[in-house]
Amino acid sequence: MSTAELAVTGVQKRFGGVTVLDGVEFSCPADGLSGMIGPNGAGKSTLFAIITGFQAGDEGRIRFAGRDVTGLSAVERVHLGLGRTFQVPREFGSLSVRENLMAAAPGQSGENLLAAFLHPGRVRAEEAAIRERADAWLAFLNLAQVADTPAGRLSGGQRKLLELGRVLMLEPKMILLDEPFAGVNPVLIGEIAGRIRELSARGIGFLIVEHNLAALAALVNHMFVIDRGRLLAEGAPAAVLADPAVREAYMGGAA
Amino acid sequence: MGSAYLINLAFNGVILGLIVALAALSITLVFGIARFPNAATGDVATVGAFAGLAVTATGGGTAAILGFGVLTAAGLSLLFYLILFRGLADKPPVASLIASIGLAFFVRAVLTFFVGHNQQVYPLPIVRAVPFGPLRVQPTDLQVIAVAVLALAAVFALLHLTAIGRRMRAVADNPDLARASGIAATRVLVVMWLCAGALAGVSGTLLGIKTVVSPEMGWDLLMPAFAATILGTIGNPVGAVLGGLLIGLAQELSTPIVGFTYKIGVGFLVLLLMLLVRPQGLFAGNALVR
Repeated sequence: MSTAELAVTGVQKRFGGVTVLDGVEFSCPADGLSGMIGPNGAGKSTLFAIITGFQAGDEGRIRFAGRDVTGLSAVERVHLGLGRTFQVPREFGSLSVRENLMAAAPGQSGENLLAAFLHPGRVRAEEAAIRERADAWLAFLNLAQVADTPAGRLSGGQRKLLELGRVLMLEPKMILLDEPFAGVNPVLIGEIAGRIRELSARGIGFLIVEHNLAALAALVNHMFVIDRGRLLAEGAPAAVLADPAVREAYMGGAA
Repeated sequence: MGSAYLINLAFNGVILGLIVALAALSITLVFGIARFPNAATGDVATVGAFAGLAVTATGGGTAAILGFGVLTAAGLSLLFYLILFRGLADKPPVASLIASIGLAFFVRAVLTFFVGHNQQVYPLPIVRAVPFGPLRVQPTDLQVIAVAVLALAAVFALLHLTAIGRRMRAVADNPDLARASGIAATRVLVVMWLCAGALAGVSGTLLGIKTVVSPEMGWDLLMPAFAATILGTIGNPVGAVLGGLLIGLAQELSTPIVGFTYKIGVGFLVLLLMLLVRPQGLFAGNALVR
């Protein structure tokens, strides 16, 4: 296995007496296009939260890009190149769309008040570069015309794109998307999928949790199935969706 | 008498309103980002005012009073974050609120132990008031207004024109999303507490220049500042400033009706009516920092 991967081993998580994750193990290439499915309550969201450092697992390790990141904070994992979006799109509603992206740009010396006083020229040049990068991603995501709009006024679909833009500012190696197609109309699903494919071609990896199985199967090369806190199956999308055990989990297995 | 009296009251109201606005902005910044109402704001202002008094002993003038007062208050504010509020950040907000009330009493008690209860004044030269038509203006009043406006402008410039300000607004808006955006909360909090302390320091020293310096001045300032914060929608910086001006004007302009002793109560009457009619404050819905 290459070191450029996301690897999860033996992750367990209990809430009170309920075991949500029961020793999940899987690994996927950090530059691949992978999907993750499973019935409601299978533990996908908790697994996402543990991988990205928003929650701590009870047991198990997370490795990313050749490092054990289990003990790192969410912010540290982001800076290693592991980005995420949220199931219900979130935005800094009172900031403009452009500011939403600019706030996420790493390594800003303008963050350091002392630097801002000592090297105003450098800080200003950096600001200009960050702004340029933000505008480039906004153009890529078709959001350029709303750059100065407060993010709280965007439509649901635009919010999904904005979340992607915010993560892209972080120069991620890999992005975990939590239901990017939920509540999005079919035209926009096509557009979002198109952007994901293009980013994947540029070398950014994706792991996508999604309930829209058809749209997901058409997008990803590899699929993981989580059921009752364990990895149930993995493989090519068509093979996974045809697997009787997977069908059983979706039809009859939801506890 | 008559309109001239009212004009002078209104002018005074604007000055006191700006001083309240500075403290209110401090409270609203802390509330927006650290998410609790900081009851120690007033006493940090008091310490700033006394630090200013200390430099006058070495012959310092207005600039020295302000400079030393603001630096001391900012440093104290950061110290309180590092030794107290940082550790309480994961607890419910009420823990930080109670701690800040305790801290307020503690600071005042320590201060009183060393300086006593007496009111003191900055030994600044007394300058004759200049008449502008019916308005009688003390040159120090103009200094107070200029410093207050500059300090408020500096904070808004920080919030809206700098990278750290953008990140402060981002954390205030959605802390979880800020984490997912790789924004380290500690750095934002350090700047925010320095900023909040500096604002309290400006507020305290200006109040000292305008009136007197006493260990109770900050606690007395805290109440109208809280009222202004809530009036302008808690967490909204522009609202805090406008709320401060409203409270200051209401208090001064009511003096002919309720008398000097009870004008402090007018701020609370305004607040009470506000809470009954529009509890979310005047500026809910277009908050810059929520």
